[in-house]
Amino acid sequence: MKNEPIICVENLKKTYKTHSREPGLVNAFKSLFKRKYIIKEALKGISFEIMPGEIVGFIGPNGAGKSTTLKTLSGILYPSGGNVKVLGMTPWKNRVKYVKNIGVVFGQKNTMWWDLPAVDTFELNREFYSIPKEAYKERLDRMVKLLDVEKVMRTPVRDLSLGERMKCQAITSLLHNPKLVFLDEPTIGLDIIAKDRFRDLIKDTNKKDKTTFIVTTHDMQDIEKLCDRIIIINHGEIIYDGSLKNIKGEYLSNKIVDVKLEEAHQGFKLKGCKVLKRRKYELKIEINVKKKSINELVSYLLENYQVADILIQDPPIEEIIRNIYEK
Amino acid sequence: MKNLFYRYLSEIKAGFRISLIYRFNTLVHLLTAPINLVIFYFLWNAIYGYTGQEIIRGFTLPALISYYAVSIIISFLVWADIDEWMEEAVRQGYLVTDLLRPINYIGSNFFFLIGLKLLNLLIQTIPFFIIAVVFFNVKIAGPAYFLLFFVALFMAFVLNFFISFLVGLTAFWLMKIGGIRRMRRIFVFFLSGALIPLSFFPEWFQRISSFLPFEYIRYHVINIYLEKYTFVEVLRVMGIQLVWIVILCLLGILVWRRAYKKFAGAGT
Ligand SMILES: Nc1ncnc2c1ncn2[C@@H]1O[C@H](COP(=O)(O)OP(=O)(O)OP(=O)(O)O)[C@@H](O)[C@H]1O
Ligand SMILES: [Mg+2]
Repeated sequence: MKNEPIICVENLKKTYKTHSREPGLVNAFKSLFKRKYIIKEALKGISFEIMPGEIVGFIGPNGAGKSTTLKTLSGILYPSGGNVKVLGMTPWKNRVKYVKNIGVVFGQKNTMWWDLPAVDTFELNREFYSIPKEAYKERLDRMVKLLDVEKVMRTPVRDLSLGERMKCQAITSLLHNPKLVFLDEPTIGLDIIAKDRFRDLIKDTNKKDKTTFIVTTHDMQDIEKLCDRIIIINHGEIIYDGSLKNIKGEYLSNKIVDVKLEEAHQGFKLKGCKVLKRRKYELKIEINVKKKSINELVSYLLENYQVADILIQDPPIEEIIRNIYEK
Repeated sequence: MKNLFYRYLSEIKAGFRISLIYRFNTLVHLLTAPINLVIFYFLWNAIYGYTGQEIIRGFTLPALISYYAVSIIISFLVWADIDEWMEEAVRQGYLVTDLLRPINYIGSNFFFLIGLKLLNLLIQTIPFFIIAVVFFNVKIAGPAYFLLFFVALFMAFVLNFFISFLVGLTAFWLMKIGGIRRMRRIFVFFLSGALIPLSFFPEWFQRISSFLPFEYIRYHVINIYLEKYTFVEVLRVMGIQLVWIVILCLLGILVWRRAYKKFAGAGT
Protein backbone atom coordinates (compact mmCIF):
# COMPACT_ATOMS: atom_id res chain seq x y z
CA MET A 1 0.00 0.00 0.00
CA LYS A 2 2.80 2.30 0.96
CA ASN A 3 4.16 2.83 -2.49
CA GLU A 4 0.96 2.84 -4.43
CA PRO A 5 -0.29 6.16 -5.71
CA ILE A 6 -3.23 7.64 -3.83
CA ILE A 7 -4.44 9.35 -7.00
CA CYS A 8 -4.23 7.94 -10.50
CA VAL A 9 -5.47 10.16 -13.32
CA GLU A 10 -5.31 8.84 -16.83
CA ASN A 11 -6.20 10.83 -19.90
CA LEU A 12 -8.85 12.84 -18.05
CA LYS A 13 -11.08 14.88 -20.32
CA LYS A 14 -13.83 17.34 -19.61
CA THR A 15 -15.88 19.17 -22.16
CA TYR A 16 -18.42 21.79 -21.16
CA LYS A 17 -21.30 22.59 -23.40
CA THR A 18 -23.04 25.92 -22.88
CA HIS A 19 -25.48 28.02 -24.80
CA SER A 20 -23.99 30.97 -26.51
CA ARG A 21 -26.00 34.12 -26.15
CA GLU A 22 -25.36 37.03 -28.38
CA PRO A 23 -26.18 40.42 -26.93
CA GLY A 24 -29.33 42.23 -28.00
CA LEU A 25 -33.04 41.66 -28.03
CA VAL A 26 -33.29 40.29 -31.55
CA ASN A 27 -30.67 37.69 -30.84
CA ALA A 28 -32.36 36.76 -27.60
CA PHE A 29 -35.52 36.15 -29.57
CA LYS A 30 -33.67 34.14 -32.20
CA SER A 31 -32.12 31.95 -29.55
CA LEU A 32 -35.60 30.84 -28.54
CA PHE A 33 -35.78 28.84 -31.74
CA LYS A 34 -32.25 28.13 -32.67
CA ARG A 35 -29.72 27.49 -30.00
CA LYS A 36 -26.05 27.78 -30.59
CA TYR A 37 -23.74 25.83 -28.38
CA ILE A 38 -20.27 26.62 -27.30
CA ILE A 39 -18.11 23.59 -26.69
CA LYS A 40 -15.39 24.28 -24.20
CA GLU A 41 -12.65 21.73 -23.78
CA ALA A 42 -11.67 22.44 -20.20
CA LEU A 43 -9.44 19.37 -19.85
CA LYS A 44 -7.83 17.82 -22.91
CA GLY A 45 -6.72 14.50 -21.53
CA ILE A 46 -4.44 15.04 -18.56
CA SER A 47 -2.58 12.29 -16.71
CA PHE A 48 -0.71 12.30 -13.42
CA GLU A 49 -0.16 10.26 -10.30
CA ILE A 50 0.14 11.42 -6.74
CA MET A 51 1.72 9.43 -3.93
CA PRO A 52 0.45 9.36 -0.35
CA GLY A 53 1.91 12.12 1.78
CA GLU A 54 2.72 14.51 -1.04
CA ILE A 55 1.82 18.19 -1.09
CA VAL A 56 1.29 19.06 -4.71
CA GLY A 57 0.81 22.58 -6.02
CA PHE A 58 -1.59 22.73 -8.90
CA ILE A 59 -1.15 26.00 -10.71
CA GLY A 60 -2.07 27.66 -13.94
CA PRO A 61 -3.60 30.88 -15.26
CA ASN A 62 -7.31 31.70 -14.99
CA GLY A 63 -9.50 29.26 -16.84
CA ALA A 64 -6.73 26.67 -17.13
CA GLY A 65 -8.84 23.87 -15.71
CA LYS A 66 -7.65 23.66 -12.11
CA SER A 67 -11.05 23.84 -10.44
CA THR A 68 -12.48 21.48 -13.05
CA THR A 69 -9.82 18.92 -12.15
CA LEU A 70 -10.39 19.28 -8.42
CA LYS A 71 -14.14 19.03 -8.84
CA THR A 72 -13.74 15.82 -10.81
CA LEU A 73 -11.37 14.43 -8.21
CA SER A 74 -13.83 15.24 -5.43
CA GLY A 75 -16.55 13.40 -7.28
CA ILE A 76 -18.96 16.25 -7.94
CA LEU A 77 -18.27 16.45 -11.66
CA TYR A 78 -18.46 13.68 -14.21
CA PRO A 79 -15.57 13.66 -16.65
CA SER A 80 -16.19 13.31 -20.36
CA GLY A 81 -13.48 10.70 -20.67
CA GLY A 82 -10.52 9.03 -19.04
CA ASN A 83 -9.89 7.09 -15.86
CA VAL A 84 -9.62 8.33 -12.32
CA LYS A 85 -8.87 6.23 -9.27
CA VAL A 86 -8.61 7.94 -5.92
CA LEU A 87 -8.04 5.90 -2.76
CA GLY A 88 -8.93 2.89 -4.87
CA MET A 89 -12.36 4.33 -5.72
CA THR A 90 -13.89 6.09 -8.67
CA PRO A 91 -14.85 9.45 -7.14
CA TRP A 92 -18.19 10.01 -8.87
CA LYS A 93 -19.41 6.43 -8.52
CA ASN A 94 -20.40 6.17 -4.87
CA ARG A 95 -20.55 9.76 -3.71
CA VAL A 96 -21.63 9.36 -0.10
CA LYS A 97 -19.06 6.69 0.65
CA TYR A 98 -16.29 8.47 -1.21
CA VAL A 99 -16.59 12.00 0.19
CA LYS A 100 -16.20 10.69 3.74
CA ASN A 101 -12.52 10.14 2.97
CA ILE A 102 -11.67 13.54 1.58
CA GLY A 103 -11.57 17.13 2.75
CA VAL A 104 -12.32 19.97 0.39
CA VAL A 105 -12.01 23.73 0.47
CA PHE A 106 -13.29 25.69 -2.45
CA GLY A 107 -12.09 29.17 -1.61
CA GLN A 108 -15.02 30.68 -3.47
CA LYS A 109 -17.64 28.61 -1.72
CA ASN A 110 -18.81 28.11 1.79
CA THR A 111 -19.41 24.63 3.17
CA MET A 112 -20.46 25.74 6.63
CA TRP A 113 -23.98 26.38 7.87
CA TRP A 114 -24.44 29.96 6.87
CA ASP A 115 -26.68 31.02 9.75
CA LEU A 116 -24.84 29.16 12.48
CA PRO A 117 -21.51 29.88 14.15
CA ALA A 118 -18.64 27.86 12.67
CA VAL A 119 -18.28 25.91 15.90
CA ASP A 120 -21.74 24.47 15.29
CA THR A 121 -20.65 23.26 11.87
CA PHE A 122 -17.62 21.64 13.50
CA GLU A 123 -19.83 19.94 16.05
CA LEU A 124 -22.34 18.77 13.46
CA ASN A 125 -19.54 17.45 11.27
CA ARG A 126 -18.28 15.44 14.20
CA GLU A 127 -21.51 13.51 13.93
CA PHE A 128 -21.62 13.44 10.16
CA TYR A 129 -18.20 11.88 9.98
CA SER A 130 -18.53 9.91 13.25
CA ILE A 131 -15.32 11.42 14.61
CA PRO A 132 -14.36 10.05 18.05
CA LYS A 133 -14.83 12.72 20.72
CA GLU A 134 -11.27 12.85 22.09
CA ALA A 135 -9.62 12.93 18.68
CA TYR A 136 -12.06 15.62 17.64
CA LYS A 137 -11.35 17.77 20.65
CA GLU A 138 -7.61 17.45 20.34
CA ARG A 139 -7.58 18.27 16.65
CA LEU A 140 -9.99 21.16 17.03
CA ASP A 141 -8.05 22.72 19.91
CA ARG A 142 -4.81 22.49 17.99
CA MET A 143 -6.25 24.14 14.89
CA VAL A 144 -8.21 26.78 16.76
CA LYS A 145 -5.09 27.81 18.60
CA LEU A 146 -2.93 27.81 15.49
CA LEU A 147 -5.34 29.85 13.39
CA ASP A 148 -6.50 31.97 16.30
CA VAL A 149 -10.23 31.62 15.76
CA GLU A 150 -11.35 31.07 19.35
CA LYS A 151 -13.66 34.09 19.24
CA VAL A 152 -14.40 34.14 15.54
CA MET A 153 -15.83 30.65 15.48
CA ARG A 154 -18.62 31.67 17.83
CA THR A 155 -20.06 34.27 15.45
CA PRO A 156 -22.53 33.24 12.74
CA VAL A 157 -20.62 32.44 9.57
CA ARG A 158 -22.57 35.00 7.53
CA ASP A 159 -21.13 37.78 9.73
CA LEU A 160 -17.49 36.77 9.33
CA SER A 161 -14.92 38.51 7.17
CA LEU A 162 -13.59 36.62 4.17
CA GLY A 163 -10.35 35.69 5.89
CA GLU A 164 -12.04 34.62 9.10
CA ARG A 165 -14.38 32.44 7.13
CA MET A 166 -11.51 30.87 5.22
CA LYS A 167 -9.80 29.93 8.48
CA CYS A 168 -12.92 28.21 9.76
CA GLN A 169 -13.36 26.62 6.37
CA ALA A 170 -9.88 25.14 6.58
CA ILE A 171 -10.68 23.65 9.98
CA THR A 172 -13.90 22.17 8.63
CA SER A 173 -12.01 20.38 5.88
CA LEU A 174 -9.46 18.84 8.24
CA LEU A 175 -11.51 17.89 11.30
CA HIS A 176 -12.40 14.40 10.17
CA ASN A 177 -8.75 13.65 9.46
CA PRO A 178 -9.18 12.88 5.78
CA LYS A 179 -6.38 11.04 4.00
CA LEU A 180 -6.67 13.40 1.08
CA VAL A 181 -7.44 17.11 0.96
CA PHE A 182 -8.23 19.29 -2.03
CA LEU A 183 -7.68 22.99 -1.49
CA ASP A 184 -8.87 25.28 -4.26
CA GLU A 185 -7.48 28.73 -3.58
CA PRO A 186 -7.51 28.29 0.18
CA THR A 187 -5.51 31.40 1.00
CA ILE A 188 -7.88 33.90 -0.60
CA GLY A 189 -8.43 36.76 1.75
CA LEU A 190 -5.89 35.71 4.37
CA ASP A 191 -3.52 38.32 5.76
CA ILE A 192 0.23 37.66 5.86
CA ILE A 193 0.25 36.23 9.34
CA ALA A 194 -2.80 34.10 8.73
CA LYS A 195 -1.25 32.76 5.53
CA ASP A 196 1.82 31.69 7.45
CA ARG A 197 -0.26 30.04 10.14
CA PHE A 198 -2.35 28.32 7.52
CA ARG A 199 0.72 26.98 5.76
CA ASP A 200 2.04 25.76 9.10
CA LEU A 201 -1.22 23.96 9.67
CA ILE A 202 -1.01 22.19 6.33
CA LYS A 203 2.62 21.24 6.85
CA ASP A 204 1.92 20.03 10.38
CA THR A 205 -1.02 17.94 9.28
CA ASN A 206 0.97 16.54 6.41
CA LYS A 207 3.80 15.52 8.72
CA LYS A 208 1.66 14.26 11.58
CA ASP A 209 -1.08 12.40 9.78
CA LYS A 210 0.59 11.75 6.40
CA THR A 211 -2.25 13.67 4.79
CA THR A 212 -1.96 14.22 1.06
CA PHE A 213 -2.73 17.71 -0.23
CA ILE A 214 -3.45 19.16 -3.62
CA VAL A 215 -3.42 22.94 -3.55
CA THR A 216 -4.35 25.38 -6.26
CA THR A 217 -3.37 28.96 -5.71
CA HIS A 218 -2.34 32.13 -7.44
CA ASP A 219 0.01 33.00 -4.59
CA MET A 220 3.47 31.69 -5.45
CA GLN A 221 4.50 32.04 -1.83
CA ASP A 222 2.06 29.23 -1.02
CA ILE A 223 3.82 27.08 -3.58
CA GLU A 224 7.33 27.93 -2.44
CA LYS A 225 6.56 27.34 1.20
CA LEU A 226 4.36 24.28 0.88
CA CYS A 227 4.97 22.20 -2.18
CA ASP A 228 7.76 19.87 -3.15
CA ARG A 229 6.11 19.23 -6.44
CA ILE A 230 4.12 21.38 -8.81
CA ILE A 231 1.90 20.59 -11.72
CA ILE A 232 1.35 23.44 -14.13
CA ILE A 233 -1.69 23.32 -16.32
CA ASN A 234 -2.65 25.65 -19.13
CA HIS A 235 -5.50 25.43 -21.64
CA GLY A 236 -6.47 22.06 -20.19
CA GLU A 237 -3.06 20.50 -20.67
CA ILE A 238 -0.27 19.75 -18.25
CA ILE A 239 2.80 21.67 -19.28
CA TYR A 240 5.03 20.90 -16.33
CA ASP A 241 5.07 18.25 -13.66
CA GLY A 242 8.05 18.10 -11.37
CA SER A 243 9.85 19.64 -8.45
CA LEU A 244 10.07 23.33 -7.83
CA LYS A 245 13.88 23.14 -7.94
CA ASN A 246 13.89 21.56 -11.37
CA ILE A 247 11.61 24.16 -12.78
CA LYS A 248 14.26 26.71 -11.93
CA GLY A 249 16.87 24.59 -13.67
CA GLU A 250 14.71 24.03 -16.68
CA TYR A 251 13.11 27.37 -17.25
CA LEU A 252 15.49 29.71 -15.55
CA SER A 253 18.03 31.19 -17.87
CA ASN A 254 18.37 34.51 -16.11
CA LYS A 255 19.82 35.68 -12.85
CA ILE A 256 19.69 39.10 -11.28
CA VAL A 257 22.92 40.72 -10.12
CA ASP A 258 22.83 43.75 -7.82
CA VAL A 259 26.09 45.66 -7.69
CA LYS A 260 26.99 48.49 -5.31
CA LEU A 261 29.94 50.65 -6.21
CA GLU A 262 32.43 52.79 -4.29
CA GLU A 263 32.60 55.31 -7.10
CA ALA A 264 30.27 56.55 -9.81
CA HIS A 265 30.32 54.34 -12.89
CA GLN A 266 30.78 55.43 -16.46
CA GLY A 267 28.34 53.26 -18.33
CA PHE A 268 28.19 49.47 -18.45
CA LYS A 269 28.08 47.30 -21.51
CA LEU A 270 28.52 43.55 -21.79
CA LYS A 271 27.08 40.96 -24.16
CA GLY A 272 24.39 38.71 -22.65
CA CYS A 273 23.65 41.23 -19.91
CA LYS A 274 20.89 43.76 -19.61
CA VAL A 275 20.85 46.68 -17.23
CA LEU A 276 17.55 46.84 -15.40
CA LYS A 277 18.33 49.77 -13.13
CA ARG A 278 21.08 52.31 -13.30
CA ARG A 279 21.99 54.73 -10.51
CA LYS A 280 25.12 56.59 -9.79
CA TYR A 281 26.53 54.07 -7.31
CA GLU A 282 24.35 51.14 -8.19
CA LEU A 283 23.62 48.72 -11.03
CA LYS A 284 20.94 46.08 -11.37
CA ILE A 285 21.89 43.64 -14.12
CA GLU A 286 19.97 40.75 -15.62
CA ILE A 287 22.31 38.12 -16.99
CA ASN A 288 21.40 35.35 -19.38
CA VAL A 289 23.52 32.50 -18.02
CA LYS A 290 23.26 30.57 -21.26
CA LYS A 291 25.13 33.30 -23.09
CA LYS A 292 27.42 34.57 -20.41
CA SER A 293 28.68 32.93 -17.25
CA ILE A 294 28.41 34.58 -13.87
CA ASN A 295 32.12 34.14 -13.58
CA GLU A 296 32.78 36.35 -16.59
CA LEU A 297 30.43 39.03 -15.37
CA VAL A 298 31.97 39.17 -11.91
CA SER A 299 35.54 39.33 -13.20
CA TYR A 300 34.49 42.06 -15.59
CA LEU A 301 32.96 44.04 -12.77
CA LEU A 302 35.95 43.64 -10.47
CA GLU A 303 38.33 44.66 -13.21
CA ASN A 304 36.51 47.80 -14.18
CA TYR A 305 34.95 49.14 -10.99
CA GLN A 306 35.52 49.68 -7.30
CA VAL A 307 32.95 47.17 -6.13
CA ALA A 308 31.48 47.52 -2.64
CA ASP A 309 28.96 44.69 -2.75
CA ILE A 310 27.58 42.06 -5.12
CA LEU A 311 24.33 40.17 -4.71
CA ILE A 312 23.35 37.38 -7.12
CA GLN A 313 19.75 36.24 -7.09
CA ASP A 314 17.24 34.15 -8.98
CA PRO A 315 14.38 36.17 -10.31
CA PRO A 316 11.26 35.70 -8.16
CA ILE A 317 9.31 32.52 -8.87
CA GLU A 318 6.45 34.70 -10.13
CA GLU A 319 8.75 35.74 -12.95
CA ILE A 320 9.44 32.16 -13.96
CA ILE A 321 5.82 31.18 -13.83
CA ARG A 322 4.83 34.20 -15.82
CA ASN A 323 7.29 33.21 -18.54
CA ILE A 324 5.84 29.72 -18.63
CA TYR A 325 2.23 30.95 -18.79
CA GLU A 326 3.06 33.36 -21.58
CA LYS A 327 4.69 30.72 -23.78
CA MET B 1 -26.48 1.62 10.37
CA LYS B 2 -25.75 3.29 13.69
CA ASN B 3 -23.64 5.89 11.92
CA LEU B 4 -26.41 6.52 9.47
CA PHE B 5 -28.77 7.15 12.35
CA TYR B 6 -26.33 9.68 13.88
CA ARG B 7 -25.89 11.42 10.57
CA TYR B 8 -29.61 11.94 10.16
CA LEU B 9 -29.90 12.91 13.80
CA SER B 10 -27.31 15.62 13.32
CA GLU B 11 -29.25 16.80 10.29
CA ILE B 12 -32.31 17.17 12.55
CA LYS B 13 -30.16 19.04 15.05
CA ALA B 14 -28.91 21.38 12.34
CA GLY B 15 -32.47 22.15 11.33
CA PHE B 16 -33.45 22.74 14.92
CA ARG B 17 -30.53 25.12 15.53
CA ILE B 18 -31.37 27.09 12.42
CA SER B 19 -35.00 27.32 13.46
CA LEU B 20 -33.89 28.76 16.79
CA ILE B 21 -32.34 31.66 14.92
CA TYR B 22 -35.66 32.47 13.35
CA ARG B 23 -37.68 31.89 16.52
CA PHE B 24 -38.91 35.48 16.49
CA ASN B 25 -40.49 34.98 13.11
CA THR B 26 -42.03 31.77 14.38
CA LEU B 27 -43.56 33.62 17.31
CA VAL B 28 -45.02 36.28 15.04
CA HIS B 29 -46.94 33.51 13.28
CA LEU B 30 -48.31 32.49 16.63
CA LEU B 31 -49.85 35.97 16.89
CA THR B 32 -51.17 36.21 13.34
CA ALA B 33 -52.81 32.77 13.35
CA PRO B 34 -55.57 33.62 15.89
CA ILE B 35 -56.22 36.85 13.99
CA ASN B 36 -56.75 34.79 10.84
CA LEU B 37 -59.12 32.62 12.73
CA VAL B 38 -61.12 35.63 13.95
CA ILE B 39 -61.40 36.93 10.40
CA PHE B 40 -62.63 33.52 9.20
CA TYR B 41 -65.12 33.54 12.03
CA PHE B 42 -66.63 36.92 11.09
CA LEU B 43 -66.75 36.02 7.43
CA TRP B 44 -68.49 32.70 7.92
CA ASN B 45 -70.71 34.01 10.68
CA ALA B 46 -72.07 36.49 8.14
CA ILE B 47 -72.50 33.81 5.48
CA TYR B 48 -74.29 31.42 7.81
CA GLY B 49 -76.52 34.26 9.06
CA TYR B 50 -77.32 35.39 5.54
CA THR B 51 -78.25 31.94 4.23
CA GLY B 52 -80.06 31.06 7.42
CA GLN B 53 -78.78 27.53 7.26
CA GLU B 54 -77.43 25.50 10.20
CA ILE B 55 -75.31 23.24 8.08
CA ILE B 56 -73.58 24.12 4.82
CA ARG B 57 -72.02 21.26 2.87
CA GLY B 58 -71.81 19.13 5.98
CA PHE B 59 -70.27 21.81 8.21
CA THR B 60 -71.89 23.66 11.09
CA LEU B 61 -70.31 27.02 11.91
CA PRO B 62 -68.40 25.71 14.96
CA ALA B 63 -67.22 22.71 12.94
CA LEU B 64 -65.99 25.03 10.20
CA ILE B 65 -64.05 27.14 12.70
CA SER B 66 -62.49 23.94 14.04
CA TYR B 67 -61.67 23.04 10.44
CA TYR B 68 -59.71 26.27 10.01
CA ALA B 69 -58.00 25.91 13.37
CA VAL B 70 -56.72 22.43 12.50
CA SER B 71 -55.86 23.69 9.04
CA ILE B 72 -53.59 26.31 10.57
CA ILE B 73 -51.88 23.65 12.66
CA ILE B 74 -51.28 21.61 9.54
CA SER B 75 -49.78 24.66 7.86
CA PHE B 76 -47.46 25.14 10.82
CA LEU B 77 -46.18 21.60 10.69
CA VAL B 78 -46.42 20.55 7.08
CA TRP B 79 -45.80 23.60 4.95
CA ALA B 80 -42.33 23.55 3.41
CA ASP B 81 -40.48 25.52 0.75
CA ILE B 82 -37.77 23.03 -0.07
CA ASP B 83 -38.09 23.98 -3.73
CA GLU B 84 -36.99 27.47 -2.80
CA TRP B 85 -33.83 26.21 -1.05
CA MET B 86 -33.08 23.95 -3.97
CA GLU B 87 -33.43 26.72 -6.51
CA GLU B 88 -31.04 28.86 -4.48
CA ALA B 89 -28.59 25.99 -4.10
CA VAL B 90 -28.51 25.32 -7.82
CA ARG B 91 -28.35 28.95 -8.88
CA GLN B 92 -25.80 30.07 -6.33
CA GLY B 93 -23.77 26.92 -6.78
CA TYR B 94 -23.64 25.87 -3.15
CA LEU B 95 -25.21 22.61 -4.13
CA VAL B 96 -21.58 21.61 -4.60
CA THR B 97 -21.05 21.91 -0.90
CA ASP B 98 -24.20 19.91 -0.15
CA LEU B 99 -22.83 17.17 -2.32
CA LEU B 100 -19.52 17.14 -0.50
CA ARG B 101 -21.22 16.07 2.70
CA PRO B 102 -21.31 12.32 3.23
CA ILE B 103 -25.05 12.03 3.38
CA ASN B 104 -27.87 11.09 1.06
CA TYR B 105 -29.26 14.25 -0.49
CA ILE B 106 -32.97 13.45 -0.20
CA GLY B 107 -32.57 12.10 3.32
CA SER B 108 -30.59 15.09 4.48
CA ASN B 109 -33.24 17.50 3.22
CA PHE B 110 -36.00 15.47 4.79
CA PHE B 111 -34.46 15.25 8.24
CA PHE B 112 -33.32 18.84 8.14
CA LEU B 113 -36.93 19.82 7.54
CA ILE B 114 -38.03 17.71 10.49
CA GLY B 115 -35.50 19.57 12.63
CA LEU B 116 -36.87 22.89 11.41
CA LYS B 117 -40.42 21.87 12.27
CA LEU B 118 -39.58 20.69 15.76
CA LEU B 119 -39.52 24.21 17.10
CA ASN B 120 -42.80 25.00 15.35
CA LEU B 121 -44.31 22.12 17.23
CA LEU B 122 -43.07 23.44 20.55
CA ILE B 123 -43.59 27.18 20.38
CA GLN B 124 -46.24 27.50 17.68
CA THR B 125 -48.47 24.51 17.44
CA ILE B 126 -48.99 23.64 21.07
CA PRO B 127 -49.70 27.22 22.24
CA PHE B 128 -51.96 27.81 19.27
CA PHE B 129 -53.82 24.59 19.98
CA ILE B 130 -54.46 25.74 23.53
CA ILE B 131 -55.67 29.13 22.29
CA ALA B 132 -57.95 27.40 19.79
CA VAL B 133 -59.44 25.15 22.45
CA VAL B 134 -59.90 27.86 25.07
CA PHE B 135 -61.04 30.82 22.93
CA PHE B 136 -62.51 29.24 19.83
CA ASN B 137 -64.20 26.24 21.36
CA VAL B 138 -62.27 23.80 19.21
CA LYS B 139 -63.13 20.30 20.33
CA ILE B 140 -60.34 18.05 21.54
CA ALA B 141 -60.59 14.90 19.46
CA GLY B 142 -61.04 11.54 21.15
CA PRO B 143 -57.78 9.68 21.88
CA ALA B 144 -58.16 7.22 19.00
CA TYR B 145 -58.85 9.93 16.44
CA PHE B 146 -56.18 12.13 17.95
CA LEU B 147 -53.65 9.39 17.39
CA LEU B 148 -54.88 8.64 13.86
CA PHE B 149 -54.74 12.34 13.14
CA PHE B 150 -51.08 12.41 14.08
CA VAL B 151 -50.26 9.50 11.83
CA ALA B 152 -52.10 11.11 8.93
CA LEU B 153 -50.42 14.42 9.71
CA PHE B 154 -46.99 12.84 9.48
CA MET B 155 -47.85 11.21 6.19
CA ALA B 156 -49.13 14.56 4.94
CA PHE B 157 -45.76 16.00 5.90
CA VAL B 158 -43.93 13.36 3.89
CA LEU B 159 -46.26 13.79 0.95
CA ASN B 160 -45.85 17.53 0.89
CA PHE B 161 -42.09 17.13 1.23
CA PHE B 162 -41.88 15.06 -1.93
CA ILE B 163 -44.14 17.38 -3.92
CA SER B 164 -41.99 20.34 -2.98
CA PHE B 165 -38.82 18.32 -3.59
CA LEU B 166 -39.94 17.33 -7.08
CA VAL B 167 -40.74 20.93 -7.93
CA GLY B 168 -37.31 21.89 -6.62
CA LEU B 169 -35.66 19.36 -8.90
CA THR B 170 -36.92 21.22 -11.97
CA ALA B 171 -34.41 23.94 -11.04
CA PHE B 172 -31.65 21.66 -12.29
CA TRP B 173 -32.94 22.10 -15.82
CA LEU B 174 -34.70 25.46 -15.72
CA MET B 175 -32.51 27.41 -13.26
CA LYS B 176 -35.31 29.90 -12.55
CA ILE B 177 -38.41 28.25 -11.18
CA GLY B 178 -40.17 31.12 -9.43
CA GLY B 179 -43.27 30.64 -11.59
CA ILE B 180 -43.48 26.90 -11.05
CA ARG B 181 -42.94 27.36 -7.35
CA ARG B 182 -45.79 29.85 -7.15
CA MET B 183 -48.00 27.42 -9.01
CA ARG B 184 -47.06 24.65 -6.61
CA ARG B 185 -47.99 26.88 -3.67
CA ILE B 186 -51.35 27.77 -5.18
CA PHE B 187 -52.15 24.17 -6.04
CA VAL B 188 -51.21 22.87 -2.65
CA PHE B 189 -53.02 25.71 -0.91
CA PHE B 190 -56.21 25.60 -2.92
CA LEU B 191 -56.58 21.92 -3.70
CA SER B 192 -55.67 20.80 -0.20
CA GLY B 193 -58.66 22.74 1.08
CA ALA B 194 -56.90 25.56 2.87
CA LEU B 195 -59.21 28.29 1.63
CA ILE B 196 -62.48 26.38 1.86
CA PRO B 197 -63.18 22.71 2.54
CA LEU B 198 -63.28 20.66 -0.64
CA SER B 199 -66.92 19.72 -0.03
CA PHE B 200 -67.75 23.34 -0.92
CA PHE B 201 -66.52 22.79 -4.46
CA PRO B 202 -68.79 21.44 -7.23
CA GLU B 203 -69.07 17.69 -7.67
CA TRP B 204 -66.99 17.42 -10.86
CA PHE B 205 -64.23 19.44 -9.29
CA GLN B 206 -64.11 17.18 -6.27
CA ARG B 207 -63.91 14.14 -8.54
CA ILE B 208 -60.88 15.52 -10.40
CA SER B 209 -59.27 16.57 -7.18
CA SER B 210 -59.66 13.12 -5.68
CA PHE B 211 -57.23 11.79 -8.29
CA LEU B 212 -54.60 14.29 -7.17
CA PRO B 213 -52.46 14.08 -4.05
CA PHE B 214 -53.14 17.56 -2.68
CA GLU B 215 -56.29 16.93 -0.65
CA TYR B 216 -54.43 14.23 1.27
CA ILE B 217 -52.15 16.89 2.65
CA ARG B 218 -54.90 18.74 4.50
CA TYR B 219 -58.58 18.19 3.82
CA HIS B 220 -58.80 14.52 4.81
CA VAL B 221 -56.37 14.96 7.66
CA ILE B 222 -58.59 17.65 9.16
CA ASN B 223 -61.65 15.50 8.68
CA ILE B 224 -59.95 12.74 10.63
CA TYR B 225 -59.41 15.14 13.50
CA LEU B 226 -63.04 16.27 13.28
CA GLU B 227 -64.06 12.59 13.52
CA LYS B 228 -65.98 12.81 10.27
CA TYR B 229 -64.71 9.45 9.09
CA THR B 230 -65.27 5.91 10.30
CA PHE B 231 -62.17 3.87 11.03
CA VAL B 232 -62.49 2.12 7.69
CA GLU B 233 -62.61 5.47 5.93
CA VAL B 234 -59.59 6.63 7.90
CA LEU B 235 -57.67 3.55 6.81
CA ARG B 236 -58.66 4.24 3.22
CA VAL B 237 -57.33 7.80 3.47
CA MET B 238 -54.08 6.58 4.94
CA GLY B 239 -53.80 3.89 2.30
CA ILE B 240 -54.09 6.48 -0.45
CA GLN B 241 -51.61 8.72 1.36
CA LEU B 242 -49.18 5.84 1.44
CA VAL B 243 -49.66 5.05 -2.22
CA TRP B 244 -49.00 8.68 -3.12
CA ILE B 245 -45.90 8.76 -0.91
CA VAL B 246 -44.52 5.66 -2.58
CA ILE B 247 -45.22 7.00 -6.07
CA LEU B 248 -43.75 10.44 -5.39
CA CYS B 249 -40.80 9.03 -3.47
CA LEU B 250 -39.85 6.70 -6.31
CA LEU B 251 -40.35 9.51 -8.79
CA GLY B 252 -38.25 11.77 -6.56
CA ILE B 253 -35.39 9.29 -6.43
CA LEU B 254 -35.53 8.73 -10.17
CA VAL B 255 -35.59 12.41 -11.08
CA TRP B 256 -32.96 13.24 -8.47
CA ARG B 257 -30.58 10.76 -10.09
CA ARG B 258 -31.07 12.41 -13.45
CA ALA B 259 -30.80 15.87 -11.93
CA TYR B 260 -27.55 14.94 -10.23
CA LYS B 261 -26.17 13.57 -13.48
CA LYS B 262 -27.21 16.73 -15.23
CA PHE B 263 -25.56 18.88 -12.57
CA ALA B 264 -22.35 16.87 -12.41
CA GLY B 265 -22.21 16.57 -16.17
CA ALA B 266 -22.69 20.32 -16.52
CA GLY B 267 -24.07 20.12 -20.04
CA THR B 268 -21.98 17.32 -21.47
N1 LIG C 1 -20.03 24.96 -15.68
C1 LIG C 1 -19.30 25.38 -16.72
N2 LIG C 1 -19.87 25.53 -17.93
C2 LIG C 1 -19.14 25.93 -18.98
N3 LIG C 1 -17.84 26.22 -18.95
C3 LIG C 1 -17.20 26.09 -17.77
C4 LIG C 1 -17.90 25.67 -16.60
N4 LIG C 1 -17.01 25.63 -15.57
C5 LIG C 1 -15.82 26.01 -16.08
N5 LIG C 1 -15.93 26.29 -17.40
C6 LIG C 1 -14.83 26.70 -18.30
O1 LIG C 1 -13.79 25.74 -18.24
C7 LIG C 1 -12.52 26.35 -18.19
C8 LIG C 1 -11.75 25.88 -16.97
O2 LIG C 1 -12.36 26.40 -15.82
P1 LIG C 1 -11.80 26.19 -14.36
O3 LIG C 1 -12.80 26.73 -13.41
O4 LIG C 1 -11.39 24.78 -14.20
O5 LIG C 1 -10.52 27.13 -14.37
P2 LIG C 1 -9.46 27.40 -13.22
O6 LIG C 1 -8.15 26.85 -13.66
O7 LIG C 1 -9.96 26.95 -11.91
O8 LIG C 1 -9.36 28.99 -13.27
P3 LIG C 1 -9.25 30.08 -12.07
O9 LIG C 1 -7.81 30.28 -11.80
O10 LIG C 1 -9.83 31.30 -12.69
O11 LIG C 1 -10.02 29.58 -10.90
C9 LIG C 1 -12.78 27.84 -18.22
O12 LIG C 1 -12.55 28.29 -19.54
C10 LIG C 1 -14.24 28.00 -17.85
O13 LIG C 1 -14.81 29.08 -18.53
MG1 LIG D 1 -10.61 27.88 -10.12
